[in-house]
Amino acid sequence: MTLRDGGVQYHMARREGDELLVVSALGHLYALTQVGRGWTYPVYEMKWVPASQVNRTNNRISAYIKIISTLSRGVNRFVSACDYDQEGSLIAYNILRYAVGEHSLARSRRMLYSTLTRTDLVKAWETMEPTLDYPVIAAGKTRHEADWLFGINLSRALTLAVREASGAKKTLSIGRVQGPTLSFVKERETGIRGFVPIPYWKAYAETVISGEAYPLEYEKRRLDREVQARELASECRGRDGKVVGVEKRNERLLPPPPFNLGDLQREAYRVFKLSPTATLKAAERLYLGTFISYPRTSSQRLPSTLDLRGILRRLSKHPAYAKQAEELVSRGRLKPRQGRKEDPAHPAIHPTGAKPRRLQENEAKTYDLIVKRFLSCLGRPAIREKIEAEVDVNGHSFYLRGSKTTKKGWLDMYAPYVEDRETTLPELEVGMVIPVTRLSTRRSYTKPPKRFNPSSLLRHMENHEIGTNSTRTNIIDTLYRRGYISDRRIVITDLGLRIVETLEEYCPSILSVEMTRELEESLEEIQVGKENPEAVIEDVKEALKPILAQFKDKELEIGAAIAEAVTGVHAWEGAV
Amino acid sequence: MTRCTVCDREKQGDSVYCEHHQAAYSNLEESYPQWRRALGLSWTEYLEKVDKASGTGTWVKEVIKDILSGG
Repeated sequence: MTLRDGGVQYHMARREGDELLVVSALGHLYALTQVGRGWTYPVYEMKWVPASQVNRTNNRISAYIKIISTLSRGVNRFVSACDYDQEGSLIAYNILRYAVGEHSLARSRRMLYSTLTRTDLVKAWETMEPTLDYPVIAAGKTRHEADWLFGINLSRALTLAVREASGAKKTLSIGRVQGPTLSFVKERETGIRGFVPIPYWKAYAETVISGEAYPLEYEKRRLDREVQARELASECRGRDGKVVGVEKRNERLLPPPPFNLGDLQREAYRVFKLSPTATLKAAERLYLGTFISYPRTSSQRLPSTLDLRGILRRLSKHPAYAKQAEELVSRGRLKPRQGRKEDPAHPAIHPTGAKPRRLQENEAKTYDLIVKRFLSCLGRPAIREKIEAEVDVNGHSFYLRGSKTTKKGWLDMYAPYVEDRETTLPELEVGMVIPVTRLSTRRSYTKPPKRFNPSSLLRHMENHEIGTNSTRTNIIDTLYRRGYISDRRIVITDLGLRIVETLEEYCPSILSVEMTRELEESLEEIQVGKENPEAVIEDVKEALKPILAQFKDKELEIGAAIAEAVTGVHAWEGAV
Repeated sequence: MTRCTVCDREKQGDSVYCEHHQAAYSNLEESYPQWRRALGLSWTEYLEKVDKASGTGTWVKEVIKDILSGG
């Protein structure tokens, strides 16, 4: 039975003689705020309060806290059924602790699941953990507290420095992950702005066999000098070539591993140009609709306990996937290609098999990509025959290259998201003479580093192990929102540049990848019960003290350096 | 004078340029031998070619403009 009170929906049910009350949260109902008053720094004391006190625009939070508090009266057992990750575990813990009361914690249990299907939820209910997942909660709580300490202190220090130096009242922010991420963009930008291209020459040649034209690739990809290009042209133009070698080999293309969140976001950007934020939003809606498993996972692996055959049977009822799913079901053994990355809490993203209805455009695209990736990771390797013929033209080697897919394997299952370019060559034999029908050389230039886009910046953050699946996308969005970066092909703004440069000069540790990575490692240790959360928070405070002292000491210089850019947030002129 | 001759940033030590334009100037100097080997150009011819080449960074173009204008 579904009920509503104060605009909040909740559900009542019965199971094995027990009466169950199910009420949702609305993300974090509690947030951190400083102990005491005053908009200054340093601030080291904090407390959890209803999030509506921190963000006063969100008044629905009070209604949720009130209904949860009211419904909890007389309840003898509590179950945390939030998403199984640090955020979900912390959301439930704070609600139990503050909205229900400390007494509830000892009577609370934890359901663990990776999909919202009926089968998995019933199983999670029947096998729930006897207590809350305290190490995960501690890691989540420590992450929030550490980020709050960095964010509140550094943002106030920046804002007050600019205010003190210029009177400008713009609110600035920087955080422990924002800093290194903005620094990555700045490094790339300076590489582009200071780039000097180097010229080189490339040969373009062609032959015609049985009326068909084929490109001939020169042995050297690049010629460094113009004179070399001229010599090549004069020595080979109008000459015939002689086939001096033909090599055939088979290349085995293994299926790709199933998606983790980063892989899904990159692939959705590659094939649909969907931003990481849009892909995450679509994936979360698919998860809430029970169509896919939990998307915020690092895993590229499908565990052996997963009922692959059951998922395939359900997928075989969807006309779009029936053929491939049925073919896979008919196989004796299903062995998915596994990736290297693991996640202790969740498997790789996979479909549940539940048939989606009325999906929005981005959801439909994301769902199709996930299903096809899942099917293809169960597919057989593809075999591609590669042919390479060496052609001698007056002492210079050119190559005719072709490829043909002889066994499509998983490539069929991942269509249309995989490029399967084929170049078929005619039969070639050693000694054959072929004409060089066209030969030209063209000057090109080396290219500057590529600008980041939201997807490649996300990967860069992953590669440097900063942020988490849950936070990286938000960090990039914040950089855009603050006016530090702009455009899809990311350009750092004058304000973003000034902030990085000023921090590089006065407190470089804020931009340090090492500092934030070390904290991530400590949080992982907390999650497995090997690190003390209080000690980690103390370390954060100790790390902040000299940085903030330096800020106070150099407030006017720092403020003056940034203030110049605060008056006008604009991308650099002539940005490419 | 404490300002870069190209922009309004503070200049670096003995250089007439700020950090960014000095880096661009250094890149120009470092790349010249490769261009000379490739095309046999004088320094001025080189600067004119780089200015027109695709991919040249805007700081580099600003430095070239400054040099060619006798800065």
